[in-house]
Amino acid sequence: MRMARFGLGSALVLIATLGGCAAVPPWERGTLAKPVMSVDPPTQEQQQKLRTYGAKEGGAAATGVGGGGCGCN
Amino acid sequence: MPPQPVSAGAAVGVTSPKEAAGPTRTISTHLAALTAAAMALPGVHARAAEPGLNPFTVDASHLEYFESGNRMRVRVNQATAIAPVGDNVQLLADGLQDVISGASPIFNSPGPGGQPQQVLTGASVNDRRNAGDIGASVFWNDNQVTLRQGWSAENDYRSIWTSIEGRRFLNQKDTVLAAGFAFNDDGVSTHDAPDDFHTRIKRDYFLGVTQIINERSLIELSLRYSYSNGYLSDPYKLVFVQSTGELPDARPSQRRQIALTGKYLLYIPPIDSALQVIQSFSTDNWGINAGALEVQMKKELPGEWLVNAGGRLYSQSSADFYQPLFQTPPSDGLHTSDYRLAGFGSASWLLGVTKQLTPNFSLQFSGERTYRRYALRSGGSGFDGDNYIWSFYLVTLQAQF
Repeated sequence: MRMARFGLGSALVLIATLGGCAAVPPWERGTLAKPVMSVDPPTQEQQQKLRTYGAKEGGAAATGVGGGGCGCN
Repeated sequence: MPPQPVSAGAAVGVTSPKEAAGPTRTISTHLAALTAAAMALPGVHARAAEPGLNPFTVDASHLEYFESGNRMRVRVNQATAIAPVGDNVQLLADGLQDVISGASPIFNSPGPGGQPQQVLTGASVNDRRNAGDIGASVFWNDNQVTLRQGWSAENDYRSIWTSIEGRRFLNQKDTVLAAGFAFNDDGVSTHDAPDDFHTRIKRDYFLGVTQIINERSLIELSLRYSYSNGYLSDPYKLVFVQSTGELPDARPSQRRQIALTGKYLLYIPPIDSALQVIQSFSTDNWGINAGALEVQMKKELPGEWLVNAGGRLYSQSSADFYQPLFQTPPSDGLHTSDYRLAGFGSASWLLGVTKQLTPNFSLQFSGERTYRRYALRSGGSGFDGDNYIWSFYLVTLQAQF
C-alpha cells in the first residue's frame, strides 16, 4: 500500500511537471546548449557511478532501464 | 549487482541526427541560430556537434575503484562506439572488463561484550567479468527508439538482458517524454559450485519527462518500478545466530522497488556557472526506504576546460529481515547481515574536469570519495563496524569524427 501511494504520488508529480512552464522558443535556448547545462555526465561516467551506488547501497534511483548485473560484493 | 543503465538519465533530450543536420551551413544568421537551438536540448553537449552533426564516436575509459582497509579493488576498462548509419539510425556497441580483487565482508560475529564485529573473506576474492552490449537507435519525426541487447559473464554470475527505450519530443522540444522496459535474466552460482546456477529475473519499467522551464533552467523527473524474483540472496553471505551458529543469507524471493528521481539545472549568469541538484527517493517491499541528494556546481573556464564539483548525501533504513546478529532463527526463515541492507548513510565529494584537446578529442577525469556512516542512517539497525570509505577515479578519452 505504501509503495502504491508512493507510485501514485510520483506519477502525479510527473504529470504536473508538464504544465505550468512557459514555452521557450528555440532561438532563446542558447544558454541551455552550454555544456554546463547537460543533464547527465558522459555515459560511461554515469554508468560507473550508478553501478557503484547499486552495488553499495540498498536503495534505487530512476535512471533509465537495462544493463547486465554482476555478483559484486 | 544491480543493472548498469544503458541510457543515462530519464528523458534526456537527444537530437535526432536528421534534425540536428537540419538548416546547416547557411549564410543566414537566423537559420544558424535555429540550428544551434535545435542542439540546445538538455543533455546535448554543444561540442559534440563540432566534428559533424551525427558523428562517429568512440569513448575509452579506465576506472580504479578501491575501499579502505584493503578491501575490494576493481579495475575497469571500457570502450563504447556509436556509428551513424544515414541520417536516422545509430548503431551502438559497448564492451568492458572488470578485474576484481580483495576482501569482502561475509558476516558478523559476536565480539567483546557481545558487540558485532565484521568478518571478512581475507584477500581471497579474485574474479574477472566480461560484459558487452549492442544496440541501435532509430529516429523519425519527433521520436526516438533504442533497442539494446547485452551479456555479462564471470565465474559465478551471468546475465543476459534486453532493453527498449522510447522518447518523444513535444512542444518544439520544450518537453521530452521517455518510457522504457528492460528484462534481465541472471544466473547466480558460487566459486565452490560454479555450475550450480540459481535464476534471478528482473524487470524494469521506466517513465520520464524533461521540461524546459525557461531559457536558463530545466527539470527532469523520472519514475522507475522494478520487480525481481527468483534467487535474490547472496550466496557468499552468512548470518550468525546465537542459538545455532552460522546460517546462509536468506532473502525474500520477490522484490518490488519504486524510485523517483528529480534533476534540476539552473544557469546563474553572474557567476557564469550552472547549479545542478539531483534528488532521489525509493522504497521497496523489503522495508528499505532511501533518499539521496546531490548538489554540484559546473563552470566553463577559458581554454576549453569544464570543471564540476559538489557533494552527495545518502541515507537508507535497514531491511525488515536485517540484523547485525540474530539471537534465534527468525520464524519466517528470512535473515541477512549484509552491510548493504543495514541502516546507514554516506557523504561524498565529487569532482570532474573535462578538457577539449582538439575539435575531435576530449579528455575527462572524474572522481568520487564516499564515507559510509551508520550514524547517517534514516532508520532501522546496523552498527559502526560496517563503516568504511570507498573511492573511484575515472579517466575517459572521447573521439568524435
